[in-house]
Amino acid sequence: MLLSSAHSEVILEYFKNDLSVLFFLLNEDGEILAGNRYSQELLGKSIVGLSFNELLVDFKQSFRLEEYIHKDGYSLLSLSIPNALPRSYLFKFRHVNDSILVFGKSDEEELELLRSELINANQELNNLTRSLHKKNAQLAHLNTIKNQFLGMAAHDLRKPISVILNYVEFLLDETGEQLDDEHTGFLSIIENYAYFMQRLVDDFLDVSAIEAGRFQLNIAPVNPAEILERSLVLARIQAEKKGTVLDVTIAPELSESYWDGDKIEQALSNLLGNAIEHSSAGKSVSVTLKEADERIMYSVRDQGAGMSQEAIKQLFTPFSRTGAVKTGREKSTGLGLAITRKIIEAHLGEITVKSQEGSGTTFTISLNTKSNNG
Amino acid sequence: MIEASIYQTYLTSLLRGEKEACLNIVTALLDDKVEIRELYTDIFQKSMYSVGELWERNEISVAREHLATAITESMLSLTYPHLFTGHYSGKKAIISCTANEYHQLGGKMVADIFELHGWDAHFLGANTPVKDMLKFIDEINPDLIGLSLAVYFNIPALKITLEAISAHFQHLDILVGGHAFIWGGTGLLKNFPGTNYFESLAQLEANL
Repeated sequence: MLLSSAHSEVILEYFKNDLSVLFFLLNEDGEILAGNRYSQELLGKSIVGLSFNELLVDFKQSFRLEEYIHKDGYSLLSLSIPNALPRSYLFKFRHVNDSILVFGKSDEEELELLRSELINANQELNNLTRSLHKKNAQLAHLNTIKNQFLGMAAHDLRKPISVILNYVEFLLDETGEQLDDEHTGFLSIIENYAYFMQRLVDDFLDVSAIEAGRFQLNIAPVNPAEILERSLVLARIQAEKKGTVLDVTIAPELSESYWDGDKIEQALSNLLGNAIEHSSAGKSVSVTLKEADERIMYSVRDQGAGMSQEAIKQLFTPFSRTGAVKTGREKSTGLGLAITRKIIEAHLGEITVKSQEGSGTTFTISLNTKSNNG
Repeated sequence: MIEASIYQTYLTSLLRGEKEACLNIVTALLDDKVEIRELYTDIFQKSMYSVGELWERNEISVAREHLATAITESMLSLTYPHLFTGHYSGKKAIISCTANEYHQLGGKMVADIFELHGWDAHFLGANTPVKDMLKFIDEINPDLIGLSLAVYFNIPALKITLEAISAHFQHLDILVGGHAFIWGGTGLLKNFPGTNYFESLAQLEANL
């Protein structure tokens, strides 16, 4: 069947007003004389009078209208769309009398490819999200089992270690003079290792409680200076053995604070113990306690070998070894600082460290006088 | 039971492509401790069945249907912190779509329902080639494999998959389900003893 001119008119009207295809009428200089409804909706109604070049995303300004008029088939060009991303269309240019007709259509194949890729990418992303959640849940479950095991094992080990320590201390106290130096030395080694094991077991129990969410604070009014004094009792003995000087400065009239005193004492003991372990004989460990803006600040500074910035990053990670030199070959469980940080964070406080290789290390604990926790 | 008005608001938002509104509804339901299975059956499954019907009646476009599917998949991920416990009963399932089947949402929901019942459910995703599926079955050694089919003209691909699985793993239980069987019927399954068809998540749950 042949199309009549009446058919053609309807088709032309449909093409001009309804289809999502572009149509422009240009003069020979490339100036836009008219555009169909879709082109006006897409590009704004003020396109008449513009040069066709102005519609294009043409970074190198390489578009030459005359070159496209003689091309067979479609040419891919990108249009700059007001308030939206640029869009690419397949264009065809035809010279008719003194004017140029320009037709532009979407690359359906490319759009379909893009749609498929988007769907695939979205599906893959969702599947990965699912796998990630599943793995996380599995890891969390394994971690719970690990903590339960750790807690049980540590709990069961605590009693035999206490028995060993009691008997070794008894032997050293009661029969020390009957033993020669070598045998006394053996017993001292057993005692030292038993103490280390006891500390390790205590740390394991703490970590297990913290990770299992069983870490509870018994908040009560405490005197910050008394807590420091309590932690200094053992530290003074350690320092004396080591020949390290403890230089303590406590500001007067500190506010009564609401914390778990035993836990803060444990945190301070860890810092003091570490500072002494990293100090040589004759060097000093400075301890200061002061208050400012309703915050209590404990500071422990040693004159040890210090740490690199890389080591500081690992400092509070359980079982990390910072490489900082312990001057008396003391053993570390690798858990003390991790536990210390948990204690301070549980009080909504802050622990910071400043250190430089060769110039010692300073730990500072900052706590609100009224812990917002517990 | 989730209120009808909540479902209706969710469906309206889904059809409009309003992801944020859907997210707010699902988050609020989860905050109210809604049962995950109810969320799956009364919101996700029900709304996607409606979307499918609207598409079949040409009331919404393919693109709108795909948008609704993508939003629903995102909504599933909101349930994962509640769904996955990391603790399993010891049973394992593999859930997958056949080759050429690109609609994976139903299969994923089935996998999640298995998880809800303590199964370790591995979801292989859309368009899984038969050889990859066989390899994975060999690696995981599951108690069951579930095949999801949404489009009935993929039934020949299902036949090829069933033949391959039956040949390599004679004693493996096979589960099939999906919208394809509503149009394509279940006649094919007569040739594969040990293969069971489940027409809904509720029916699946009742048999787990």
